[in-house]
Amino acid sequence: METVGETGTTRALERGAGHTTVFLLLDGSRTSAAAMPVAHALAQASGVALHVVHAGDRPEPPLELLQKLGLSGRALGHVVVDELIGEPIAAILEHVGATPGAVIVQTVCGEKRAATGRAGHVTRAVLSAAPCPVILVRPGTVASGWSMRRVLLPHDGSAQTAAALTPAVELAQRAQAELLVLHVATLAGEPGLPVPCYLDQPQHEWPEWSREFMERMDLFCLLPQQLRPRLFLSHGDPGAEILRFAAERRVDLIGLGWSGALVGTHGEVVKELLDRAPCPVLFSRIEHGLASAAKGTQVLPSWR
Amino acid sequence: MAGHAGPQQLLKLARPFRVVAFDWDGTAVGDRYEDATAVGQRLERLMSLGVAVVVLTGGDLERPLRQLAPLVQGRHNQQLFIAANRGSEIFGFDGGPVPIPLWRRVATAEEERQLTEAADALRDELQRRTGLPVAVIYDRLNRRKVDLIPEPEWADPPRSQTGELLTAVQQRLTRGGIDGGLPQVLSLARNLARAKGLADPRITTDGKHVEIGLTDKSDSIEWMFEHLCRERGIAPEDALIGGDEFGPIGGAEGNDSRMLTPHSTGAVFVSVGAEPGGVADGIIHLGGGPARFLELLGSLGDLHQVRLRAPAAALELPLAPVADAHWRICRPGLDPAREHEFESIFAIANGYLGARGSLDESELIASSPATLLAGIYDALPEASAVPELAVGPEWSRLLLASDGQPFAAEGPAVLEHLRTLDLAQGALFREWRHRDRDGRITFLRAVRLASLADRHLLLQSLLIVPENYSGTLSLEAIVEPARLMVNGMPVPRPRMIPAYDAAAAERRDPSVLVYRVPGSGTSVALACQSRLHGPQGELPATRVDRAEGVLRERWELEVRLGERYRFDKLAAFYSTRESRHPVPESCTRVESLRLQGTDGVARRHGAAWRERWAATDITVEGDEEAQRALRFAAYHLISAANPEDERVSIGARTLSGRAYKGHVFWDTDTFILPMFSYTCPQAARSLLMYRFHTLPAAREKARGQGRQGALFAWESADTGVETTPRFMLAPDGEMLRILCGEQELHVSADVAYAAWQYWGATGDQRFMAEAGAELMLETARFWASRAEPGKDGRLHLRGVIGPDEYHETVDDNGYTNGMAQWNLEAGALAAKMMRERMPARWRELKAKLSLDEAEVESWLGAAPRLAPRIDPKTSLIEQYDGFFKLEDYDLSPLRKEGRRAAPLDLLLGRDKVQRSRIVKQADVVMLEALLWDRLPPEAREACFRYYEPRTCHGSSLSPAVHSWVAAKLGMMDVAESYFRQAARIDLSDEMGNAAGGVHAAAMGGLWQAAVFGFAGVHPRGDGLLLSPRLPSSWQAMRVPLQWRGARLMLTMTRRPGELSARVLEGGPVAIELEGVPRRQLECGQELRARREGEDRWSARR
Repeated sequence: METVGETGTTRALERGAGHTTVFLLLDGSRTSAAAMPVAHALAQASGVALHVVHAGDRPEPPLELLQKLGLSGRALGHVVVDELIGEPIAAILEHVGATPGAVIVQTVCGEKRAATGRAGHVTRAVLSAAPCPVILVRPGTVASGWSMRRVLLPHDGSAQTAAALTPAVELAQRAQAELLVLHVATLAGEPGLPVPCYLDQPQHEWPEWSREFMERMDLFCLLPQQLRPRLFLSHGDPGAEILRFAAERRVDLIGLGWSGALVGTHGEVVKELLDRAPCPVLFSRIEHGLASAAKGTQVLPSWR
Repeated sequence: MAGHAGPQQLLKLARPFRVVAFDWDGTAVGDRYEDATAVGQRLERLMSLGVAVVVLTGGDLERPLRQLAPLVQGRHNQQLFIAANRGSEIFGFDGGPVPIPLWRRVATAEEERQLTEAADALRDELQRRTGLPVAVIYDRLNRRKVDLIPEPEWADPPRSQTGELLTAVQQRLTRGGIDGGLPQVLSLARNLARAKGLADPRITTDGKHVEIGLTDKSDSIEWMFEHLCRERGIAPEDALIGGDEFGPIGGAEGNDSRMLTPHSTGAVFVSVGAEPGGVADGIIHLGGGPARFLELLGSLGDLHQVRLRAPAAALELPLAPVADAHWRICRPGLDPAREHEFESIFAIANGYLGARGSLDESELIASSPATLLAGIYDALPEASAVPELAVGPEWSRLLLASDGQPFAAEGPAVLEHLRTLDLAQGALFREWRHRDRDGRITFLRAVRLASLADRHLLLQSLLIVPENYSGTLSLEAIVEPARLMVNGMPVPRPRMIPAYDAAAAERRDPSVLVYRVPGSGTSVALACQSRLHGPQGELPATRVDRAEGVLRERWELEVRLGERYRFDKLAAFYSTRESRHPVPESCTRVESLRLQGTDGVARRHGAAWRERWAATDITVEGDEEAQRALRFAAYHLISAANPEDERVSIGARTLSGRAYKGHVFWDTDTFILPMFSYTCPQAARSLLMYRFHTLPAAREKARGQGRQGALFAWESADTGVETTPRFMLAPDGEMLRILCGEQELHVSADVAYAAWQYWGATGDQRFMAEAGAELMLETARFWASRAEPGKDGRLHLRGVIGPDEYHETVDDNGYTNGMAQWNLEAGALAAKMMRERMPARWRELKAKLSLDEAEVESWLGAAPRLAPRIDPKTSLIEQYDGFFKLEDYDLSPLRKEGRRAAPLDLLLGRDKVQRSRIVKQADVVMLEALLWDRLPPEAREACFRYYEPRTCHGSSLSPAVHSWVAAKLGMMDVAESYFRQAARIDLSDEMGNAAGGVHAAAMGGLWQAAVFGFAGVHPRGDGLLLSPRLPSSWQAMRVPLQWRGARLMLTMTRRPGELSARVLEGGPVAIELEGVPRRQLECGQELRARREGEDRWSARR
């Protein structure tokens, strides 16, 4: 699949003014340390220290913990260890929830599930309850020295999804990564701006639609012009198409807006990415009450 | 009893609330027998001032309806809503006395059972505990009432005895051992209801009864905010909610406290009840009962009077919006994501120029304003660029500021916003309130129009009222070239750029700005005159800045609270397309209006629209959506055509947007033009003359393909040269060749058909002599040269694209062949007619075209050899050679999902679609629609039944044609469904389809579906055959038509099936119905008939 065209529907924005705190969640296993390159790169791009979070019944000496994880040398630079005591999920959520601008980075699974690569209950719990974006890394998909050069933003065209993609766009901007927007057209009715019902003359409709799609997206997640966001359109099963596209384009990060449910079309896509994503996936929650998004979608048409 | 409201709280009530909701019993009236005349009068006044009134009652509709009877008589009752049966029903009114159900909570059988079981259980439990009789009342909607004191003396206690009633009930319960009294009973009721399976039981009490229900007042209030307030853009703080029982009664929660809901946060609550238990914070306790409430309603009316109904001498806009909702398209609030659609939908135009419905004062982030002048094209510098409409200057920008604070176009500063497209008067109204950071509220009302009486003129008028302040207000009126950046990004589009003109530079009042279109060499002059008036008269501009193409006029004024200020601007555009001296002409035009002013311009514009509507307006009874859609369609089509300019046509998206680059397609000839042939022949003639003037380019295109005659461009701009882009980057990334410009030949026959149809409807011999015959002959000649003889003895049109563009480079497309055959025969007929009736002109034409009689004769020989073949067994016409051999594809799953239209070439892939019998749009069905009489009846039905299920309607042109043909076949449910689909193409969110402009062809198709389909108008010979069939939801329909210089009105009703055809002007007109002998109706005569069977009519006296 080739480029549809550069819509360039963006404006120069001052970004990055807000402080970001990158939390790397570790369960004490080497598997969980596989997310380190991602967390490290994000912290570096944001110019902040990386917080390594370990939660358990009893504290472990920070240095021992890091060494046990195989983290040493350069990896230890600019690292803060946050030891949390108590039930891990509750402790993590409480700790992260109290930090504005938080981003959680963790592997999809820990040691126990390393063989299957399937998400464990901690991952699912954090994903569904975290008050901030969560980046999940499947072990084996990133190498040390990972960097974000190309970010894929699957987008159903709705205002809410566009707004939810904001964290991914912000991180991409900090890393000066290329932005690839993918819309997978399906036969089912969808919210937002899916492919139009009528395409009288495609030579006119498609350029218009592409421009409209990107401009609507820009309204809610402020696409930085210098990243030259490009729109791609595909059809078929959304999950499979995202995976195919990400692999073909050698994408470094997928940013996904997610409703929080594992059912329906979105839920199926999430499950597929958890199981098969070839790169880290940033999940950010679709907030239906988001002021900016609501402005665009809450008012029903009324022709009275 | 007086309340305890403090001064700050009372101040909150001094606000012009836009909706008032209140409990009826106890708040508005003392009891059910009380005379409600006084409260009715005050409510009526409020409704006449635009305030919505929501009456809440625990009982059924009848009681408040009886007490409010005088209120529900007038048209103001459209503002009245009654929420009855304790939140289970909402009724509204449409001007008549009959309530219209708007919403109802329908209980399931399971819920009904649970309600009954819960009430019975409560009764049994209370009887068991107290030993006293307890009764259940079952016959209430969605609830059961348990009577705690079924004693004769307490059978119907008046409101004034509530205190005694509560004491009696309390004593009764205590005596029976229920020490917790009423609260305990309520708790018991709730638990029992849940135990019986009701997840969310609503337990309420009036002291005597405990009610177990599915709804309560909270449902009414939620409906009010979610529907009424949302649709009208009413913020919660503009809602006043009144009651008399917010505080606890007998220890139980007051009924009116249920009106405090999530959506009502911010609304102002007031209680006029005694409230012995006090009220919660935030509720203004006035006390004083219904008498106090009456006073409150009176004060509210006074406030509105001040705001909206100033004395007659006060400034008002030159035009007021039409009162009838069926003539309005409204959009409350702002919705940035869909702003581009609304800018198209609310566009104003007059065929010469058009302006999108963008916000004048806006820096709205999503806005894409454009002023377009018909026929002025330019191309971007890229080699592959094709001409497109050049965007003209923004003529109506405004900047406003109160005490130095610029007005915001969106966000919390915009308290309310409403856009109204007044279809009757062709005007765009806006009304909004702006609050600056310091709380200064300004009320603004604006109107914009493109004059239909004088097509060079645009008018803008703005009324400004400081609502709550006196201070400095600044207004800046700006004209400037179309922006290079929209939404902060560069927009590649041809635009008119500033030019220097010495004469223009010196002009003042009006100021003139000059622009040029680089590629075409066209110059455009824009003369502007702005005025600002306050209570004391005209206020001069404090500063005027001019630069090339830019004019900034600024006023700084000291405004006073409640006073009115009006800004008016007249703008006149002239270009070198139609004028040798656009600068003086534009100036003269504006200066000549000095005496009549904007009011006069608005009056003449309104009169011009009234005249057009008298000839065009189809009225429908029984289907509001259809009525509004037909008017919306006619509005945009009238706005798109310029009967005075035969060098321009109508682009696919009219002048409402830049999509399709202003290019002209077969859409104009086949879909749009028929409406004009029958309602404004001059406009139809101009559209055909555009084709006539572009004949040289059409001849050149035919020559380029090695053919003779005229092949019109698939996409055409000002010259008629082919402007279809040759390549497209497909959404899947593939670079595709666009073949329509080379292969979609049927456009030539479509032009000829439109000319013939126009001539048939108007009898315009001059047109036929000057242009029509040449169009007919040159297009016929093209087909004769394009058809290739085959071994089968037939002629073939190979390598074409029919209307179904999913299948390219096909042979013998049914539609193309059928239309070509018709074109050859009609060309020969035109020649015969010219030969016999206008021999001199015929000789001239023959000489001009180098045409001889033998060539004309050959067309008659060729025509039948091109005819689409009808299978004698199946009666089917194959869409093209080989179509029946393609794979079949079942579209029914899509339709089950409710998706009636879809671009399947994308969703399934082009290859799949090309291999399948999936039809993009009406193709053979289109042939049926146009050449109905030429197809045998069995073929019409068989083809429709075969192709309709295989059509995915990937084009907006398709649904209306299917409605039209289905109606002619008597398949009324199908026809109605497709009509509705066509009606919604622009008026519902069809995935951003309207962002680049409205769908003119679909609108023209809608008119044809109504007139040729439902009204059954069918030209036959020199008269009209009528065979009306109305959809099931339509009770009656009136269609004005023009036929050969006569004006007639067709009126038809569904039950009883009656029809009237009356000639209003001119005549005679021959009218024919099945079963009724053909009659020649003279002016003033009427033919009346009654339906006797499906297609049989009998004449009535």
